Amino acid sequence: MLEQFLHFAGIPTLIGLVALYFAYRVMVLKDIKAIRGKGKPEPKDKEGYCRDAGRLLIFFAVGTFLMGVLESINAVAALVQIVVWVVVLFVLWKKLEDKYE
Amino acid sequence: MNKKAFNIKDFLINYGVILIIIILVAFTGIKSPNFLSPSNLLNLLLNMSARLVIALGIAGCVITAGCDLSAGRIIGLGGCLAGILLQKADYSGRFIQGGKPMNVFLAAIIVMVVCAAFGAVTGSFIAFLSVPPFISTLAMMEIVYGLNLIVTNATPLGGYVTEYTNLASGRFLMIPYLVWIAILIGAISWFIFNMTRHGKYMYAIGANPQAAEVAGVPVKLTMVMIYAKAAAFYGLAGFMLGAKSGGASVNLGLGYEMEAIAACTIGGVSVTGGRGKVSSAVIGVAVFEFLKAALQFLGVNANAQWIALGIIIYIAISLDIRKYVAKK
Repeated sequence: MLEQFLHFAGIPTLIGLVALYFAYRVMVLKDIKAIRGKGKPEPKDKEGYCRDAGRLLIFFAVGTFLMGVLESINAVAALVQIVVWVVVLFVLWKKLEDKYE
Repeated sequence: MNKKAFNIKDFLINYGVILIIIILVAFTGIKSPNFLSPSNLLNLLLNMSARLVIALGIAGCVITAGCDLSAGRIIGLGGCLAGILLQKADYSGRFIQGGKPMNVFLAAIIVMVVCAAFGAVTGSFIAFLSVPPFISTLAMMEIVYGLNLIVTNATPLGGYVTEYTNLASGRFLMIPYLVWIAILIGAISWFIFNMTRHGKYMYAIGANPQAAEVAGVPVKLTMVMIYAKAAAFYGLAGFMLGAKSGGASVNLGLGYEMEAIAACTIGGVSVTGGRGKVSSAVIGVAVFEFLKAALQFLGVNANAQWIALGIIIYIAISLDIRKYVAKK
């Protein structure tokens, strides 16, 4: 059972866990450099940025877990779901960057 | 002339990991003479060839202080795509029934172009939507994985034309064709990194993206090109791995991105950006492959080998960060 789950959903689950780890770093540890890298200026409101970026990362993690579930049912549906999810995520991320620039 | 005094501490920080691995390799060579035999060295070169192509792709991303976690999945896509295009016409499990297998060179070009398109999309997300590279490449990793599952129906591919598998078994001047391909890609990368405006832009973005933008560097376009070029290299690596193993599946290249990032860091490509050469990637890949082979020859438990590799990566990245902090 577990082996079958990992066969279908192993990679999406792993990616989801990575996203959750970064959400933890941003929301709890307030480590914005973990996602912004060096060279970028600090956002206007660090607290707000950490909160919103963390939420987006959790949103991404949820999308990956959902993909893992869908993959065992219908691979095409899983692909469509993750593409839509990622496009929404990136648009929201752009809005986040514009908001706190 | 003011010559810089030799500092043993700096030397150990810069080359400590490589030094330890060279000692380990020498020790393995003495303990097990087969380790340094021509056939084993040739085998190591063959293993290094695809990994070097991946590392050269990832090096560009790392120099800009980015990363590319989608490399492994794009390698899988490249391998599967090459497999679909190059199956024998009379192979019973042929993916596309009817038709003829494609010319090997043309198939390689198609694989690289398709993979480059995915890389360009990733680069566009990073450049135009300001999405951090690790999120952007994680997302692309998942999309490519899903797409590959659908295309191949999670079925392993095989039955390749001999012209394709000959790339791994055939030789020119005693050296396998795959190694020549890696040398060619190394030369092209060296030219791009050192002789072109794109290469200069890459280093400028890695050192300070804002200063680069102010100085007139087309940061966004350069980022797109870096990720597209990297993905084209991953595709080629998938093509090479498919030739070497005589088959491919969606899991081809799994975890190779981590190995490539580690090899780049060990060789001297800085994860903090702005530093790194083609020779860094070559040294890193060679050192990493020799380390893996040495551990196997020493009879280290297969699971324990992962721990040893992890420790090496940890030390290499820690030393690199330390160098960055000291420089600041």
